[in-house]
Amino acid sequence: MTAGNEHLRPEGVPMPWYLEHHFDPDFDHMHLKPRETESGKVDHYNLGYAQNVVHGQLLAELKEVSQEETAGLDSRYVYEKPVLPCGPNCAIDPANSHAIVAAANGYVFYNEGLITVKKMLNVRRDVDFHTGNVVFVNDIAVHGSVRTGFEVHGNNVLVKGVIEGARIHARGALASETGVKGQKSAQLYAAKAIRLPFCENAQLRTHGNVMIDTSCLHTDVYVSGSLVVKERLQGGTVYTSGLVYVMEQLGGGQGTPTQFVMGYDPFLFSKLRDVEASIKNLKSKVDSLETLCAKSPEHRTEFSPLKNEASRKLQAMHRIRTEIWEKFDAQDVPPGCRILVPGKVRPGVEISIGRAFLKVNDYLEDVRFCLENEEIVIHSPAVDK
Amino acid sequence: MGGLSVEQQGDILHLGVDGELTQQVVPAIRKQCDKLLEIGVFTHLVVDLSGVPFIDSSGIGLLVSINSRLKGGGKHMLLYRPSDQAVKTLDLVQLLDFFTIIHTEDELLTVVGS
Repeated sequence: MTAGNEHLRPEGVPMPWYLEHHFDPDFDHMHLKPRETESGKVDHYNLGYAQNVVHGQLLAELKEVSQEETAGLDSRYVYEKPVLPCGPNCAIDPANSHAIVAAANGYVFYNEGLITVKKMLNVRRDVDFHTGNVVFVNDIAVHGSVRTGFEVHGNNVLVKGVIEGARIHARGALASETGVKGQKSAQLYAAKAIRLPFCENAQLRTHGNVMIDTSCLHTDVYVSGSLVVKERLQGGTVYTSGLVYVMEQLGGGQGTPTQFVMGYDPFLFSKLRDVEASIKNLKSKVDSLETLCAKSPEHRTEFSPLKNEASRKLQAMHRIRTEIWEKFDAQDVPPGCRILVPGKVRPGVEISIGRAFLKVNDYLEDVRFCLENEEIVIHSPAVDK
Repeated sequence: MGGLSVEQQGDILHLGVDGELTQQVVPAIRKQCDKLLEIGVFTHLVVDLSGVPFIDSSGIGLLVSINSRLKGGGKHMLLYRPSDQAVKTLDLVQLLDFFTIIHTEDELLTVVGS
């Protein structure tokens, strides 16, 4: 550890040690303040609620310093002896016995004098202007609500309060104990599964299953697995290649279309929609640039490179769209793709499975809709006894 | 020591990283990134990792902290062409899904275009 004469220990006087942190040891999530950016704007959404760390990441290291050097250092972390405050989910770096590394993904903080990493983030209040958006590398439990305009990103995410018009991105499962009042702007994604007591005016997307304990109203659902609604499913569009089970009532309400697009990968639809939007934007950009280029030779010289770049991107987007359509064509409708309704079906429900389409014009009860010989047929009962 | 190159294209900020992204270089790169993120006006940050042969936990920690900061502010970070080693390491610490990873220009166009 001693590199030069300045680090030689005088007789009987121990050289001090300084604990250099690779995180902010004074971070206090209870007193977050919005920062003013260089542009003068104040970002109220990005307060940095948790100090994320990754398994193996260097958190702090002890460095031997001279007595003179200690003057400019934080005296709280100057020690007479080399002491490492290594707490839970932290470890001594195998490559450096004077360094502490994280032993788990989580957030780092000082707890009772020890550097500690917590794997589970408990937000014991609403996600709002006091917390800002919450982005975490592991599991999150929000004990309050997630307010409109805010975002939560985590592994498994549990929200005990209401999810309002917020965005939630769960790399695992998403569950709520109260439900979703999405105000037509909530966007909830979970890689593995979504479970909600009720949901209205939202968009749900998952590669797994969706379970709604009561009603699902005016919500667009993209689900690769199954959708189960224990009471009423009314309004919105469901994109799925799996099973839909609605126990009490499907559809209802004049002017409230309830639609199903089934038999294809729901995320391809989502991607196609994005690509279509890009094509529209790029077309408009190319048109504007063409108009500018036509004004004069100088304009042409200035705007031609931009137009050519936009045209190149437009061509690429057309190619991507064609590829998506080819993927649709290559897909077969999975055999389990059907809708089961032990309760009532109201007129106005529109169902497409693969290339087949059916609009429900009557009041039905205890039925199932499935694809047979390229047509959607209705059978009863919904579930064979 | 790894170097950084920066290029702005409209709303996209391209950040090229060259060399190993390890504990030794992370503090310096973090400082540079902090400044860039503070003054940069962009919607997407594309971090080109094609020139990064090796990345350790501290390197991932840096990427996590940038991504958290951008996500928190409603912006997007994309990892462009990470090496197999980088992908493996991200997978090992179960953070592959924490990032949007793209391998081709078409993918980049689809994500950014949308």
